[in-house]
Amino acid sequence: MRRGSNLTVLFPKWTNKLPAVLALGAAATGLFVVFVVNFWFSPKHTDVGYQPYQPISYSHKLHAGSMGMDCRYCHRMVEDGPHATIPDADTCFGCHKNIKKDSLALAPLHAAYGTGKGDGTPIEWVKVHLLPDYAFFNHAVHVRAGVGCVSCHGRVDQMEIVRQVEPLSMGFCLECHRDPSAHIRPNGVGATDMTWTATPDSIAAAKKLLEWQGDNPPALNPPTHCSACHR
Amino acid sequence: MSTLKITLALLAVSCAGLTGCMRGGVSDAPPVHLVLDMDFQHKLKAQSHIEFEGWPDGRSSRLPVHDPVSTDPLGKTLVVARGSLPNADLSHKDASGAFKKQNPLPLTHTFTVLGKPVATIDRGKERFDIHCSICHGTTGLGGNGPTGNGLAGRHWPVAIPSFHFAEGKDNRVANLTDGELFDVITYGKNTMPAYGARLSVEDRWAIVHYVRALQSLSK
Repeated sequence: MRRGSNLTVLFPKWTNKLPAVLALGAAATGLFVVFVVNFWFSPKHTDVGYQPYQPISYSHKLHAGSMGMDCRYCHRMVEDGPHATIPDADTCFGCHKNIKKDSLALAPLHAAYGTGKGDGTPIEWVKVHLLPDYAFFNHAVHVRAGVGCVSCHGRVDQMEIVRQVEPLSMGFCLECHRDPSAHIRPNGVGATDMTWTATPDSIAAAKKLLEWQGDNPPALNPPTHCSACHR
Repeated sequence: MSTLKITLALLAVSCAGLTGCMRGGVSDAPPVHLVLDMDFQHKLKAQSHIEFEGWPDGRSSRLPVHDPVSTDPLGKTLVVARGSLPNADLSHKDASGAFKKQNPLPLTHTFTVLGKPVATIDRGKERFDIHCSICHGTTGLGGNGPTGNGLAGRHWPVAIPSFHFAEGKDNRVANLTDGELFDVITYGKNTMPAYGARLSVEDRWAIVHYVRALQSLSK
């Protein structure tokens, strides 16, 4: 024993464990960082739950839920074009010139309608479901393939204020594009039916359609290559 | 080592707690973009705002062009939006300007909807259920109060006549000609809004076919 040597002063006995503790700590910190990034940097956290306030406190729960209006009464381009389109003031005003016409909540609508000749100030609805600008998405082809609104937008008919419920990330898209059978509705079930859920029959029919190569009915061929969406 | 164990346990518990309550929580703050890449590109996007001095109203989706020579009763109206581009065959008026008595769209016409063939009467029923049933009810009986067929009439004092035939009534609405029905759908009437901008010409004629089919139940 060389008690009192310089080294034992500089490195007491407990420092023997230091490299092991440091290594463990570094590993734990590394794992923690990976976990944090994986969990909280995911669109499941950053995007899901986005519920902006709108200029008019429009309730989908009332209009689409209790009243049972079809989604396409307002979002009428959904079958024809890439966007589901927010209705123009004329669509709202068609009913609200009679119903609740003096409601204070409708002041922005009256401003937007103007004289009815496109001279009003548009209502600046806040877009809820935001895809990055480099991602191509077309509503019409999805509706055409038998994908319902609820698959991506959730039960909008139960939402007082619309909220994003799915991450709408690349992983979310690809998951469905690789096996969409649980989301493909059979002929005769409308895309706007919010209560439809997949049955073993519908899944079997969809799987059959995925292998189908003909034109009638149109083949179901969800692309998974890059330029399907990044074009 | 016990302190390390306690620290790790605390960490695990706090992670579990945070994962339980934090992910996907409701927020009115816009989504965070951790890597901006090209998420927001300076380009015209549908129905958005654009800063461009040529378009002082800031609409990226432009309004339809006004028709300077329109003979439309609503004046210089939005001819493209109304879906009434001149097509003499599908016009609701004949050469003399009188309403057509007969639906110019044959019942045998086949719509191609999303790549699939759809019979005219099915297309008419679908469009009727989307756009008309909210007031007229899926039956076309309309009406007000608790017995009203459409939801609007059941809850609000909106006059919604039935277009069915009934004993002892003048049956004015039921006896409208096809051209007149088309006119009402296109331009609206009294409390009914105009659907010309929302339904294509073919869709409106398909609805007229479907209305006739509904009426045949009460004839």
